[in-house]
Amino acid sequence: MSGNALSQPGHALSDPVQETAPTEPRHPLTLRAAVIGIASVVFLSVAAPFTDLFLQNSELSGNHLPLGPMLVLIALIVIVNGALQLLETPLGLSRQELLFVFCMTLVAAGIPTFGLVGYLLPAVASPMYFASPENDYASLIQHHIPSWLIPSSPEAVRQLYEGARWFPTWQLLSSHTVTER
Amino acid sequence: MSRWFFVDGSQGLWNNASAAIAMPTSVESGKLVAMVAGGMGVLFLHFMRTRFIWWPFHPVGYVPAYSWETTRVWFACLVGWTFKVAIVRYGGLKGYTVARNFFYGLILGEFGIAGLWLAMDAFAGKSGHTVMP
Repeated sequence: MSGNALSQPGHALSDPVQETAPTEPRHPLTLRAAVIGIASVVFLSVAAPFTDLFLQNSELSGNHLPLGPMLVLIALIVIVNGALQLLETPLGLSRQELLFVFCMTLVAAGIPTFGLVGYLLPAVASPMYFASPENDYASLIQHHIPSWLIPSSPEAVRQLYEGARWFPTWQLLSSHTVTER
Repeated sequence: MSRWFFVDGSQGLWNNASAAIAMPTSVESGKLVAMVAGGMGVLFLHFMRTRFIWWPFHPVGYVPAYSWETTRVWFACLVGWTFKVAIVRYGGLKGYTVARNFFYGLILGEFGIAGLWLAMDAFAGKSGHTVMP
């Protein structure tokens, strides 16, 4: 089944991707696709930890089809390509460019949270923060961990869990810290 | 902050490690057998998939089949698959293209509303409000 056959003029499905894209398919790795993809990745790298780890609302980077990359894709199709279609310009992002941006965000969305950082930062900080005579982390765990792998400052570990007063946003929202739950 | 990432998950990691250090155990043959059996199962699915066109199961499906997310979305996938099969079989290409607009709307609506709430909650500082599974 051809995608072009389904989106010919007059078809019930209005397709802003196809209608604003040029006749000849562009190479997917265009400069503007790379710029949009990098900007989207930066946005998700900031927004995903804030929503997933801190606020714990709907996960931008969780699930098999993550919300964050889908929102970026929907925004590009509906808002950007939709506006360009209304202006009747041929500058709309092509399918290849949209897929390229979607793949970039899909790969990157998980890294700040579920894919890497969400586990890494607590994993290197918790042997110090949760060490107690009961779990005996001091003799069982801590001396096995290379010094370069863990934070050397106990204050930095404390601030990770309890908040830092020098960071206004964190201080403003510090009522959500785990120690006060 | 997420209790799973910052408390339970990270403590579980080191509790397991300290338990293994304090009380080492030998290799468990049952787990090795399970690993080999899983690998053989994927090879079997790959063999069938690449040789018989009527074979419906993809080896990639074996990987997410047993995961937390799958336990939350399997019924929605089943309903969607059932609708698609019925529409294609009884409505043909015309039915498929017409119905596709409706299902595009469902996807757009679900993700759009989830994104809207996400933005509102972020600005309001509201936490613990999940729309998606």
